[in-house]
Amino acid sequence: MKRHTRSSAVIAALCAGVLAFAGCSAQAEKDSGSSADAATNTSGLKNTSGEVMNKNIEEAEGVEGAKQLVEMWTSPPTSVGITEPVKGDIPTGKKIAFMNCGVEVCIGLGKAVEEASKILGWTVENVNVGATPDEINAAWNRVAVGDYDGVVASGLPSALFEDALKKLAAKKVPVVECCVTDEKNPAIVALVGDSTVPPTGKQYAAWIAADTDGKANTLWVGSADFPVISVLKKGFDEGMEKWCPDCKSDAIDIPAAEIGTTMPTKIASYVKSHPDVNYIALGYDGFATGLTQALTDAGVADKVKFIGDDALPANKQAVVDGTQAASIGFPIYEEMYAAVDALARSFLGEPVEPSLAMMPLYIYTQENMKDPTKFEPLVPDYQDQFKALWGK
Amino acid sequence: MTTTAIDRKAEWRRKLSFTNLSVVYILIALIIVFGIWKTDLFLTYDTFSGMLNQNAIQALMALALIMALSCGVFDLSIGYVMSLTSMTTAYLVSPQHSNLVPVMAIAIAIAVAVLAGLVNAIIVVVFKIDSFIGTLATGSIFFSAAVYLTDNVPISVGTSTIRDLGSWNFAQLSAPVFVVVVVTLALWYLMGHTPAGRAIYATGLGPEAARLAGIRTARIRFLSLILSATLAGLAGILATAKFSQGSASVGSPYLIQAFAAVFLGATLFRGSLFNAPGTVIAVVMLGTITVGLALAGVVQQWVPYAFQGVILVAALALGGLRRRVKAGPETSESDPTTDASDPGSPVQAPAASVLDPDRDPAVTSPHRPGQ
Repeated sequence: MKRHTRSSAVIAALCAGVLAFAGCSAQAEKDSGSSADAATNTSGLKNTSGEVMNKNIEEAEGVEGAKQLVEMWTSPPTSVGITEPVKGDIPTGKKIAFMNCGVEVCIGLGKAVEEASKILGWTVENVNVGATPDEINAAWNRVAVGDYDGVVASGLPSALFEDALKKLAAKKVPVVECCVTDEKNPAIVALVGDSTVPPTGKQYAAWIAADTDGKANTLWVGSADFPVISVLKKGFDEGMEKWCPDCKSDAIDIPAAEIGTTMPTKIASYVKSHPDVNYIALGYDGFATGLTQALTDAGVADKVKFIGDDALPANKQAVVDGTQAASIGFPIYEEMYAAVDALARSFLGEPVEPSLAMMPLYIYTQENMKDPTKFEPLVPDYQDQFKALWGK
Repeated sequence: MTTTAIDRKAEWRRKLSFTNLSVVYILIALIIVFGIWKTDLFLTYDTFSGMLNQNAIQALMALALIMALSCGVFDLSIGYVMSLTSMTTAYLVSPQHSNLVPVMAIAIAIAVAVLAGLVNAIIVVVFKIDSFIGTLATGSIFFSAAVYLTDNVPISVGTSTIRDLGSWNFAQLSAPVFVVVVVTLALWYLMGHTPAGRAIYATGLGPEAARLAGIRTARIRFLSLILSATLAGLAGILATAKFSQGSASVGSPYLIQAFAAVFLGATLFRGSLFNAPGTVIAVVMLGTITVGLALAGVVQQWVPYAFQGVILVAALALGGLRRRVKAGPETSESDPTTDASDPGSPVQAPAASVLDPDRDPAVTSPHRPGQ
């Protein structure tokens, strides 16, 4: 599944982690997004988050700026982004429902929610939401009449379960979502990861500008089935304009149902019919299924590279194998800890805004890959940072 | 002109007619159109080999359906069997799980597919559950087994050990293409040139008549379901090698297109009988549309679907229209023994004509096997 939007709540949780890491004040982390442990790289930029990250992106100019950003994003991020600790004592014994869509990313998100909840003494029940609108609605309504204290969901537009959300709101059960775009249902108390999507789109641009030395002709592959990709595309376009003004780019949109079947053929045929294309930007790593073989079959594998987003294990392996140039990391752990952070604040009646901070950004390459077999936390000490925010 | 010469001419006219070769003519037309439109890109060996490579697994999935459909059985589980063997293969070669050598993993995966076919056969033939529902149900069970293996998490680690199976090539044609060629020839010979093939068609055309004629229809249906699952399983293994990943969701997208290709292929060569060469040509034709439009730079999402839909309707309707005209007023559209134009029930020839290889298909029926 493609995250439909990285909701803002996640970002807030990330900020909290930063403070914990610094072990002193939230302000210190807010300013720098990192402590003295911030990873260094030849660019001199620290891969942090929040204001510092936005400033780094803003100040980067031209291809050289893009190269500096890539240097930064290929070094481990140091901050989970959330800087403001939870003020009260977080209650234990809460029962949380995680609305699990059952696909690889959702399963990873579910595990992260469980891990975070365990720290707070909460239990998590994975609720299989199914795939059809009816199944999703039914699952949400089961949760609405259940004895849950909070709900975490990912990638599901609330229009599918508005009635259940009303019931949950009436029961004062907070709902936190990640990975959806433009979600404005008041019954959802926090959208985590939302503000991270545009800079993620810029990561594509910086990588491609740097890797081609400002001579890119890029094919952007999107799918309207994943609304978040259009937000990524916007960030990509802005980044290309800033860091690769002489570069060209075109875009195609392919239905998600064609992943692994006709999608790779269409992409490879496009590249073949546009011989100047030297880079492919996949709006989602899953679009790479069968792509390498299709490019080889079309005789264009040697003239084009590709990058995707979400760092699915198969794509991480492809990066290790050298068939995919790079993959933009998805902060699954940090985002779900942020969702739990938002729930904690909600239970205490505190504002959830701190949980909506920008998530850590990272690009996996052949050189910095650790374990390609699974999703990994991007910030090495993310747990310590969140524990400090939560007083644990 | 002698009667024999006239018969021969009529026979050739029939063989080359639009009714008999509609998809081939449309494929030729597509090649001409795309060849003119994008000459330097489309009319190349790279495009030809690439198109075959990209559609080989789809073709294998379509071939998996032929025998079952020919004897009147639907197998809706093939997509899930493909997923199951994909996950099984990846699971077995993965060092995180079983770490078996590829040959052993593939053998076990094939055995799993055969077992799945056996389950289908028992459900449909022994328990006499309608194949449409029965295989839909077993498909869910196979899918759940695929999901159970790793909690629906795709497996990529270790699949490099079988990657050669998907990427090995000769003359730029990958291994799955040669697998499809072998399976096509085997099915073509079995179903078109052996008594067993006639028995398969007879079972589908009129099971009761076939049974009374001494054909062991239950056994044929039983075996057909095992064969379909086995071929789907083979497709799953090849997909795992090609994509370097085992996935529980890999099979489902192939199902609808497989049925489309099989029914489209049935309009070729054998007058509404499912057949392997026709099916493969149909897959190639559908693949040609995808590749041709992409090379031509048509990026609007709706165009390939509309184009493909129009082509499908044209191939089916024109073939059927011509056949109706040919059948004339003596042919009742409601009579399943004479109407060959109904794509929903394509095995329409009278069992007698199938069983009697000496009857002249041009005179008595356009559906005689072996043509």
